[in-house]
Amino acid sequence: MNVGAFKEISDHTIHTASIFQDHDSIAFAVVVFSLFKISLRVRDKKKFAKRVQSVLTRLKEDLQKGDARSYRLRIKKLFEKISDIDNKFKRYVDEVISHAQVKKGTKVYEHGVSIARAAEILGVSHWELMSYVGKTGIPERERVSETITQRMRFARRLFIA
Amino acid sequence: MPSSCIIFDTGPIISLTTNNLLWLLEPMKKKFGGEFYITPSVKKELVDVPLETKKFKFEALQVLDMIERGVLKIVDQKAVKDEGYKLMQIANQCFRARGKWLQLLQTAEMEVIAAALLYGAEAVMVDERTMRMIIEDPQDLKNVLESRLHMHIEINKNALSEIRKRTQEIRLLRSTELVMVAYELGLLDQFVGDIPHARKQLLQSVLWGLKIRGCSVTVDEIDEAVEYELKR
Repeated sequence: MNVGAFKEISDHTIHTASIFQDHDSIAFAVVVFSLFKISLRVRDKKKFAKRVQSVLTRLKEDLQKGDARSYRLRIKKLFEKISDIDNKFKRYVDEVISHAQVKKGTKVYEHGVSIARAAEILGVSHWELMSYVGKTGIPERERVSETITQRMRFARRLFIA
Repeated sequence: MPSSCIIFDTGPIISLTTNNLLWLLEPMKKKFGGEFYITPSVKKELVDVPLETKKFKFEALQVLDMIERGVLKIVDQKAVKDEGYKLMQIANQCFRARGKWLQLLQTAEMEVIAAALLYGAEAVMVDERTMRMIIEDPQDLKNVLESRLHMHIEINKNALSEIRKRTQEIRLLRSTELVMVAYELGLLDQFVGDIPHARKQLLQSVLWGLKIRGCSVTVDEIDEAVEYELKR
C-alpha cells in the first residue's frame, strides 16, 4: 500500500471540493488524509493495510453501483474499524480526524473560500480554523488594496478626536 | 438606532481574545463614543458553539463577559437576517468555475455587512481576506481564485456591480488597525518593557500575535506599520 499517495489524493480531492463543496468529497478528503497520518503511527501495518484496502474496495464498488447511502455509511464506519485495531489508538484517531478537518479547512480557505465558510463546510469551529490559518503563509500571497497609512488615517478619525 | 457604531465580524474578536487583547474593546469604545455591535450569528460562533465544546471555552466566556457588560451589543433584527441572506446569494453568484457558482461566503458574514448598512455603521471590523476582497477588490479575488484553482474563473458582472453598489459606503478595518490606534493612545504603555527598542518590540509583538492567530495581514504590512508608527 502506497501511503504517500494518500496525501496526494486528499489534496487533489480538496481542490475539487473547494469548487463543488459537496460533503462526500470533503469527507473523503478528511478520511484519506487521516489514513495517511494514522498509517505513519500504526504498529501492525500489515493488518492496517488489509483493513483499509478492504474498505476502500467496497467504497469503490458502492460508487460504481451508484449506491451513495452505502458509501456514506461505510465512510462513517471506517474509523471505528481503524480504532478497533488498538483501543489505546482511539484517542489518537480522534485527534487525527480533528486535525485533518482543520488542515483541509485551511486548504479550502487557501483556494479562496472565506474562513467562516470553510469552517462550516468542514464542521470545525471558526476559532480553531483561524488559529491554524494564521500559522500558514497564506496571507503572504495576497495583494494589499489599501496601504497601512491609508487605513490608519481612517482608523484614527474614528478613535482619536 | 445609535448615532454611530462599528459592527464586528467574528474574526477580529477571535484575534483579540486569543492575544489577550479583548480588554482593549472597552477603552476603545469609550474613545469611539458610539456602540460596538455583533450579530446573533457572530455571537453564536464566538460564544454558543465553543461553550458546547472543550476547546476555546474560556475564550468564549471572555467574549460573553463583554456582551453581558454591554461592551459588545447584539443587533437582533429580522431585517439584518433577511438582507444578509440576500447579500449572500448575490455574493455567492459573482464567480463561476466549471459551470458552478463558487460559494465563497457564509450568511453570517453577509449579515455583518447587512447590519452595517441597516445601522449606517462608521466601519466594519473584518480580519477575513475573502470578505474584504469581495468588497474592496473583487478583481483581485478573481485572480486569487484563478491562481489557486488553476482554472478560468467567469465573473458575473451584474452580481458584482450589485455588491459594489450596496457596499460602496462601507469602510473596513482589521484588528491590526484597532490595536495600532490603541498603541497610539497609550493603552498598551504598561507593556513597554525596560529593554532596547521597547516600543518597537511591543508593536511588533502585538501585530505578529494578531497575524499568527489569524488576522489577514502580511509581513510587509507589519513592517510598514511598525516603521510608520515609529516615525510619527
